[in-house]
Amino acid sequence: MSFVNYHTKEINCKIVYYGPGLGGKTTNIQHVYQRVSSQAKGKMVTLNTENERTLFFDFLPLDLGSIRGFKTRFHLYTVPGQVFYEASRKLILRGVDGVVFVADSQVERMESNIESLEGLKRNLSEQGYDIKKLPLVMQWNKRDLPNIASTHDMQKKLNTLDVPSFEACAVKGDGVFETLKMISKLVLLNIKGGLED
Amino acid sequence: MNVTSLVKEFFVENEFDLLSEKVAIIRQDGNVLYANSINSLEASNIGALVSGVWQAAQSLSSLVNKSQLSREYRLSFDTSSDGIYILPVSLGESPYYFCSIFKDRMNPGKLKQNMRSVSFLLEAYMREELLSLKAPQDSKESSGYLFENITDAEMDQLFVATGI
Repeated sequence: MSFVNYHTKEINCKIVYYGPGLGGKTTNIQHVYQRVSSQAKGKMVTLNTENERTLFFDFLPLDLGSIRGFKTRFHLYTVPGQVFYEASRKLILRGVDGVVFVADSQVERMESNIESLEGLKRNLSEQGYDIKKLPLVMQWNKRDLPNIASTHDMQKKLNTLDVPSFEACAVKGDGVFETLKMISKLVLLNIKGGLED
Repeated sequence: MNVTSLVKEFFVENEFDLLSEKVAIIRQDGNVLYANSINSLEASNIGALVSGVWQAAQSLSSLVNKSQLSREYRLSFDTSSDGIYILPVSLGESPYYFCSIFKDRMNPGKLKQNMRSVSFLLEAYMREELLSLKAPQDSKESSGYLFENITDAEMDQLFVATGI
């Protein structure tokens, strides 16, 4: 749930990068971390295993500029993608304002994408969220690899809600900020509470 | 005055911000309501980690204890001089975490006792203050959406600050 401080005119929002294991969630926020100026970012927190798989979550606080007088801060989280970390994924989704679903475009990963998306719907529902009402953006990652599914196929199988989607190659940074910009916009538009006079 | 300002006022005026090196009040989702840290981005890191560690511990505990007596719990990670102590506090209707990170303490037990006393004082203070605040603030802040529309140019401008 976003946190709006009307007194200091500050908005804090939580965005979670969700998706199957090795899909590129951590790579997305690592790229954001590398590209943004030092004043705009905090320390990136990474709780991972010895072989650099996300164990609990990655976290990056990001200060964007102001919009209509409100300073904005986005808290970017990733979930662990591996199937057996379901309990951690549920915890990290608490209080979420928007989700980026990072799908792996490789044909052989389609089943994992579908399974992860089903898990997202189930976990959100368990916490009282309706995925149809929550800001959601799809990212088709790893478009640079051979043997990838067509975007038409990805849309058909994964984007049944017809939310905004972006092609990406997160290791090169392609599509990373386009995705972040879109989810940020959707999250800001979804914040409840009229402006004070 | 809102909840954030009230909590800050409570800590600063009573000098409870000096309880330990790092003191923070954190919402369940990791948002920081108050922190004595000068760097607010560092405070965000503390918020995310405290919220995560508490909720993970709570889930572990629920494996053997199905009743959610969360008010009874506290979380310690410490040596005889350094460590972290987290307490749940109830401010209004929402649960929050009261966290202290300390080092080089002669008597961490005393600090923990002080924190428990401060948490009760804070809850009582907020109960009183929120009663007078609640009605007018709710009516002002809950109507419709904060932004009716946002242009692409405004979004571009928002990201300019990041240096991209």
